Amino acid sequence: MPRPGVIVWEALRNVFSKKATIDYPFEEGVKPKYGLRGAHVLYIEECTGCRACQRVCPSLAIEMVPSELTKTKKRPVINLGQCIFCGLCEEACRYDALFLTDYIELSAFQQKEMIIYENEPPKEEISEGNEPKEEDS
Amino acid sequence: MADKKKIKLGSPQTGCSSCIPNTFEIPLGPQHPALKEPTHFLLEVEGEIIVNATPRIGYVHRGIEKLAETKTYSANLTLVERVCGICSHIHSISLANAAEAALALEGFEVPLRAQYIRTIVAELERIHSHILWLGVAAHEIGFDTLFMLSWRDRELTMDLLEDISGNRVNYAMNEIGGSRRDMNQSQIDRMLKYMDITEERMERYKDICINENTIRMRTQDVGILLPQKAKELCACGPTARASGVAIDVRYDDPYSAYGEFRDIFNVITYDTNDVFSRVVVRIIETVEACKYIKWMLKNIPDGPIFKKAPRKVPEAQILSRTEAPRGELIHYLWSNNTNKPYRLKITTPTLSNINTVPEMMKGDYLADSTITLASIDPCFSCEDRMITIVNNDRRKPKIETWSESQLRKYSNDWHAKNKRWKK
Repeated sequence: MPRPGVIVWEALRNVFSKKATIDYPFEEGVKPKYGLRGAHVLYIEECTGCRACQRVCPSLAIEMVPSELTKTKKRPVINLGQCIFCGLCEEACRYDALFLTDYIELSAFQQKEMIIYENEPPKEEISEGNEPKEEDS
Repeated sequence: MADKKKIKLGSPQTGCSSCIPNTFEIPLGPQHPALKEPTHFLLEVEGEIIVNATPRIGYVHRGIEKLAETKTYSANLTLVERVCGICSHIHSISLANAAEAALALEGFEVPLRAQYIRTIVAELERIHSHILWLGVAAHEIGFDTLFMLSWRDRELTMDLLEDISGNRVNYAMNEIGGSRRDMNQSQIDRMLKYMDITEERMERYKDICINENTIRMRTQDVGILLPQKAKELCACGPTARASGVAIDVRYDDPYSAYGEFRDIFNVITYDTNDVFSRVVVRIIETVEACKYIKWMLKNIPDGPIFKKAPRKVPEAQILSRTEAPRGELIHYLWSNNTNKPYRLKITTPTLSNINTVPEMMKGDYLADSTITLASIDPCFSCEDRMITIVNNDRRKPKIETWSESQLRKYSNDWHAKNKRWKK
């Protein structure tokens, strides 16, 4: 039998219940603890330039450029504008050099800003950067 | 109901027959507030009543099938997920099933735990798709309270999907030979808890939809599709089941882990053949999907989730059928002993359901055309992958198949005629 206004009580009850939404930019969004697929992190000292990540990438977001730092004299440059965040590159990397982080706020004003690790870091910085970390741990 | 339809069709003709035509043509789309994606319907109306409707599709053709021929199988799994934004996982299941069926010729087997994980994600996807549809349908009939409430409850499922796969929409969970991510005990407990809540909420919505006058008055006796017509027009999925045609690929031809719980599987049908029936079928299916997920979580076997597959798929032609949230999805794969498919043909459920819309609209009021169109849960960018050339006269469409030389000649002529057109 049809009963009118079944949803009215439902709607009224929600007036006094907890808020379902969040004030996003001021309040932190809800993220899973692990497993989120966001922007990449590349440990260039581990990378050998084996091109596994480039070959497996479905959207051709990874490009290999000449470099002095790696074994094969090549290193990956990642275009986050083309990336679909499938995580295949992370799985393909045998040397644990490439990771996806939970950093997902990736909006930018220019296309250039979406390309990460475009410029080669100087050799000295890499070696210096590693030392204090080891001391801390 | 059939009698009522006849009375509507036989309404007195409006206007003077000599000067004013009896029918008018009203275009619905391609850009229209009621449509979420572009498509075109040419409605012939007689006063307020629709006499005829002609669909025209093909506004968002993206060339995914051709692109699939240039990519490897594992890259294609992430590509075919982009065919549809809502039912993305089922596409990758379809392609993985097709490739694994070809590999099975050489004795390749997928671990059972991977099949369970795939099926759980597919059912979660069905829940979120059906609740999304319920919200959209409620919005189309101007019942925004239900839209807000149902989309709030959808967030639970979306959180689960994000927790399991790391992404809210395109999950990228499948790999040829298994699943890419495993589920731990805390995730399973959380899923069981959330499924209980979702099931309780959906029972509540079932109660609301069946008893609330706001929905009944807008959906009952609207968009009638009789079972005979549904069979003739090749309707599938919830659209066919709402007309009393009991077809479901999950039950008829079980894939992945659906064969494991075929005893407790129910094919949901409803017999009023109208939009109301489609609402009820989708809500009951959501409740059922919660039950299947709980059964699978309790009976999930231990073991590996992935077995490394050979890169080259042996030569075979395989038709893989799966049940997407909207109906039967078909992937036709032609492999040629390389690591890339020779041909991939995708037929989505909306392509077969779109033919039923003119039949539903006939004899209804113009104001009901939006909810009638929404009742098949249309997804236009999924379906747009046919290449046919149709005559300019829309009333008498004549489909021809052109050869390559004919197409080239047509292209040259067109560009000669339209010299100022720029790419």
